[in-house]
Amino acid sequence: MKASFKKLAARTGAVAALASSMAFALPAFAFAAEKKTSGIAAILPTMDEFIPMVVAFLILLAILAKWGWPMFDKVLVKRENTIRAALEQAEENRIESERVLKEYQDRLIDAREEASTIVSEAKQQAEAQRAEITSRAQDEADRIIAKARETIKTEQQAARGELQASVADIAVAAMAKVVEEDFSDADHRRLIERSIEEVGNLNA
Amino acid sequence: MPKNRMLIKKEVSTYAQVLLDAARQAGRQYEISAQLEEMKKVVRMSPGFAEVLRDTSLPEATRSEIIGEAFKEFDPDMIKFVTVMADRGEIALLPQVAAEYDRELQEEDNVVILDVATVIPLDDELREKIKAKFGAQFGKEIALREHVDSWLLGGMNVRANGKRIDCCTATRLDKMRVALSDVTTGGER
Repeated sequence: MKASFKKLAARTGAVAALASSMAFALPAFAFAAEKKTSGIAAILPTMDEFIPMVVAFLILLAILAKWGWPMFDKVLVKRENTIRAALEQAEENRIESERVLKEYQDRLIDAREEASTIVSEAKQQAEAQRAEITSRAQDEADRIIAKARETIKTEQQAARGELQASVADIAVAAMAKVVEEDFSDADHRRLIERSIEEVGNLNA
Repeated sequence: MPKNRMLIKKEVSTYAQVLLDAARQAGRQYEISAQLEEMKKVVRMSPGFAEVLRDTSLPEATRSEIIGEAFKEFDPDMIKFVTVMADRGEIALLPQVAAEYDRELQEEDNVVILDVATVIPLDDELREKIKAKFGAQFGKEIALREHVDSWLLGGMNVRANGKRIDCCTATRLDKMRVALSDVTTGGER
């Protein structure tokens, strides 16, 4: 298209140059025959100038009408089509861009919502894990404390039992000592009599 | 050579009957019963002595001398009897012979032999009280076999026909010790 435009411009330029040279050549003859005038006649063309100019103009007009204007018209139409096509393409691109933009925006919204959901779920999971860890730690602490209390209680009971046993051993040993050393035969006799009274049935 | 149960029982019965007849002739059947009980106790409590009595490789004279020394306060017939058993290698039957002797004695005399252990020797009044108490229980005359044992601390233990009642102070104190050990003192549980 660019090459044809250049060709058209070259042709049009040649025709215009020929017409101009003719238009300017004819006044040269006119100026050569120019006579001294004054008043309004000074600005009005004389007939020997006017006619070549009209002829040159007509020739130029004819040339332009025959070759120049269709060429320009063709170029203009082509240009118009090109621009229209470009505009249509641009419109399509704009629509496509808007569609893509809308799609991206939708995706972005979806992504944001998904991200928000993920963050929310992650927060919930973290919260649940924190609660579970706290609960476990509390349970473990409670278990340790309960075990420690149980151990202390057991040891206390064992110590108390040992103390009681020791006290009982000492008390009984003391009583046995008293009975063994201080009881007279009369005391032993009373004990035997009491045993006879309290003894159960040996023939049961 | 191992003997079967019937032979052993017959042998035990023979020993017991012979000893009882001899004791009756001497009028010391209850004393012999008490001595048999004491011998049985000595043999049971002294494994080394029991081993010597069972040792058949020991010369009879030596064994007889050891038995005579160990039971020198016992009836001479009793010592001879135990020596014969030892020489025949049957001293292990002594507990069974003692039980059979008592069984036959009780059956023939229609009495119950009651072993009574006390810290002090019994006097006649205590003997009568004991005989009256247990005679009423068994519906038979009671023949006492007395034992003095300072370990009892006080009271008495009685045993007859394989049954035993412990009324001694040592046992009571031991029960008291167990009860005191188990007492819960309260406070934090």
